[in-house]
Amino acid sequence: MTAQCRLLNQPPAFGSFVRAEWNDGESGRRKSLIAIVYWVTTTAAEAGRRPAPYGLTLEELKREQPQIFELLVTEFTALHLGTIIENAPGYALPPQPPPVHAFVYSCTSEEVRLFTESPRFLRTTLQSIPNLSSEQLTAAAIRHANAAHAKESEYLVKVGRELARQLHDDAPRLQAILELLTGSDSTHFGSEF
Amino acid sequence: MAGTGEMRPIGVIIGGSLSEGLQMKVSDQVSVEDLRAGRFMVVEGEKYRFFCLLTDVVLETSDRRFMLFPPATGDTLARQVLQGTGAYAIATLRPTLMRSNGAPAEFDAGSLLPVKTIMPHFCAVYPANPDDVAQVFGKKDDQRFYHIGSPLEMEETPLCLNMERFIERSSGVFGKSGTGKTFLTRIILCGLIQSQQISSLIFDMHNEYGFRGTTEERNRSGGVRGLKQFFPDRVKVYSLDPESSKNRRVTPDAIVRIPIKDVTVEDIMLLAGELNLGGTALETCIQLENRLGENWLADFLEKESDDIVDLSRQNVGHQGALNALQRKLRSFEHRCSDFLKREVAKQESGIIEELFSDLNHGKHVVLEFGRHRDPLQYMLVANILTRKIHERYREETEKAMEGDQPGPRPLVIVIEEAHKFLSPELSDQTIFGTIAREMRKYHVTLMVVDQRPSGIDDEILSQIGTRAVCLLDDERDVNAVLQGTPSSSGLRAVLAGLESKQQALIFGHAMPMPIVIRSRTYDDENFRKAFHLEAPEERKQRLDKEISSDYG
Ligand SMILES: Nc1ncnc2c1ncn2[C@@H]1O[C@H](COP(=O)(O)OP(=O)(O)O)[C@@H](O)[C@H]1O
Ligand SMILES: [Mg+2]
Repeated sequence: MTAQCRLLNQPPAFGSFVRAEWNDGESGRRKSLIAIVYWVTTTAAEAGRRPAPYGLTLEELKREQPQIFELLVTEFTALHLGTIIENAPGYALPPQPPPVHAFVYSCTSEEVRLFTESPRFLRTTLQSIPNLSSEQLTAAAIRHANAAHAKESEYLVKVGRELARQLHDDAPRLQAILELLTGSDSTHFGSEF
Repeated sequence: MAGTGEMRPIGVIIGGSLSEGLQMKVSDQVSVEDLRAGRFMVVEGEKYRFFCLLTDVVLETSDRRFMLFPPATGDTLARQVLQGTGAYAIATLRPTLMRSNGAPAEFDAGSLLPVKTIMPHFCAVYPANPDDVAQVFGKKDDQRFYHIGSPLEMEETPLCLNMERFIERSSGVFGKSGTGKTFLTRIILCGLIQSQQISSLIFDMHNEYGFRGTTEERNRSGGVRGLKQFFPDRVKVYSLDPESSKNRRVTPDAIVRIPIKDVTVEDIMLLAGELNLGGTALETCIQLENRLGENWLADFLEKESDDIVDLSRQNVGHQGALNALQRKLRSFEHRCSDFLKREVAKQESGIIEELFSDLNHGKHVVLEFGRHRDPLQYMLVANILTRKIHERYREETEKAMEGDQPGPRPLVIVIEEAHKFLSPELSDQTIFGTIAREMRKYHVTLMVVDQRPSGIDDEILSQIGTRAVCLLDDERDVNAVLQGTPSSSGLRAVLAGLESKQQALIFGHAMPMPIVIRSRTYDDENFRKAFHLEAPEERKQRLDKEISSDYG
C-alpha cells in the first residue's frame, strides 16, 4: 500500500511497522492491516510536475520560496504483512487492500511487540521486491521488532534462528542479515578463518 | 505406556535403516556434549517402544557454505542462531529391542522383541527412564535379578543382571589394568553367592578376594572387604602360603599342598614358556611319562647322571637334552617348593576331596596364592586343581546321569590373567580350554578376568556368553571382545567412550541388549547395607535416622 504523510519529509522509518484502519463497507466491521515501510518518496502533489532544484540549499529555499513546499508531498509504500484482530496477530493477508483514504498509523511499541512475538513476520520480508534489498528490509524489521522486545534478552536469537531456518540453504544471505544486525562491520563471517 | 514423565525429547528420528541404525536430529535444546556414546535411549514409535544405544554423533550443516565461512569466535549471535538450525548434530542410534506399547508394565522377558522393523519419520527420542530399565533388565527386588550398577547418566536407577542366565554360560570381565575388573568381578561374585544357585572357585592370584582387597582409593589404606567378610558362612579361603596369611593375621580354612605326582606333562606344556622349554623338551617329557609312569617327574628329578645315560640309551632323549631338562625341572621344583611336595602329609592329602565337598555343598572357595603369585606358580596350581576338580565333577555328573539324579552343584571357576591359560597355542591342551568348549556339560563354567583378550583363542572367546568390558586401549583387544557380536562397529565407539574406571559395556548371553553401566561402588555404605553388613556405628546411625524419620 502507498500512503501520503501528514507532514512533508516526515515519513515513518524504513522497516518500521504501520497499521491501516478502516470500516468495512459491507459488514461494517473494523478492519486493520499491518505493513512494513520500504519505500519513501517526496514528489510534486500534482501529476506531471517535478520539483526543481533552483540551485539553492534547503534552508535558502525554505526562507525564500516557502510556497514551493506547498506543492510537494511525502509518500511511503509499505509491504503488507498481516493483521492484528482483537489483539491477535495474524499472518494471512486480508482479501482486500485498505480503501483509498483509509488512515495509516505508526504501530505502537505494544503493537509491534504483539505482531513480532512470533518470528513468522519474517517470511514476507524475505521475499524479493524489485530494486530493494530484502536483507536490508529484514534487518531493519528485526531491529524495530527487537526494540519493542527490549525486555527479552533472547529475542534476537529467537528471531535469528527462524531466519536460519528460512535461509537454511542460503548461507550468504543469512550472513548478510546477521551482519547488519550486529551492526559492526568487523564481525564478518569467516573473518578469522 | 511407560511414562516419559516431564522429560523433553532429545531429538526426533529423521531417517535410518534396520541395518545401519537410526538417524536422530538432535534437538537444539540439547547440548551435543551431553550425548555420550553408550547412552540408553528410547524411541517412541506408534506401536512399539524401541530401546536403543547411542553409538555416534556427527556434526552437519544445511549449507556447505556454513562450513566454509564459519562465524567468528566472538560472533555469539551467529553461533547461537546457527546452532541446531543451519549447523546441527545427528546422532546414530542402534535399535536393540522393541516392546509393544500394550505390553504390561512389569518385566516380562517375552515382551522384549528383536528389532524387526523401524518406526516412521519424526518419532520422538527420549533418554530411557527407570521404568524402561526395569522392563528390559529386571527389577532389583526380584530374586532373579541382581543389582550390579546403573546405566550411564542414570546414577539413581539400578541396573540388574539376570543371574540365572548369567550362570548358564561362561562369562568374561575384560579391560586394561586398573579399570575395575577385579572390583566388578567381586561385585558379580557377591550376587552369585547371594543367589545360592552355584558355587565358585576363585584363583586369587593377588589376594584380593578372600579377606581383604586392595584399593587405589586414597584414605582407604585398610583396603576393602573381601568376600569372606560379606559372607563368612559361605566363603572359604584356602591358602597356598600360610606364612603370608599369618602375616596378614588371617586364618585360612585350609592349606593347599600339591603332591608332585599330580604334575602332568600337560602342566609342563602349559608352563613351557615360563620354563623356557622347546618342542623337543616337551616330547621328552611325554617319553618320560610313558617310561616312568605316574610319578615320572619326581623320579626323573632324582635320576643320577648314570640313570640319565640309561634313559638316553633307551631313546628317551639325547643325554645333553635330558640333562638340560632335568636342570630346568629342578629349578622349577625349587621355585614351587613351598607347596609342591614329594611327600604330602596325610591331613593335607585330601585337599581335592575337601574342595569338592565344599563346592558341592554350595561353598565359594577362594584360593589365595600369598607370595606365590608369579605366573609359573599361579598357572601350575590353577591348572592342576582345576583339572582335578573337573575330573570329580565329570565323575559325579556321569554317576548322576546314570541314576537320573540332578548332578553336582554347578560350579564357576574364576581365573584372572586368563589369556595365559587360553592362548591359541595352549587352549587345546589346558583344562580351561576344555571347560570353555564343553559348555557346562559337567556343570562347570568359567569366568575369565583378563586385560589382554586378544591373547585368548578365538574359539574360546566365542564360547564366552556374557561379557563385561571395561576400557581397552589396544585395537586387537577391542576386536577380540567384540568378535561375534552383531553390528560391532557401533559398540566399538561405545567402548572407546568408556571412562577409565568403574564403567563397563556389558553384553551377550545374560543381557537383553548391550548396555553401558557404571558399576556399584564396592564396599561403600550402601553396598554393605545391601548385604546386611554394617559397622556398629553405621547401624546405629541408620537406626537413629530411621527412628527420627518415623517419629520425627
Ligand atoms: N566398582 C568399584 N567400586 C569401587 N572402586 C572401584 C570400582 N571399580 C574400580 N574401582 C577403583 O579402581 C581401582 C582399580 O580397580 P581394579 O578392580 O583393581 O582394576 P583391575 O582389576 O582392572 O586392574 C580400584 O582400586 C578402586 O579404587
Ligand atoms: Mg585386577
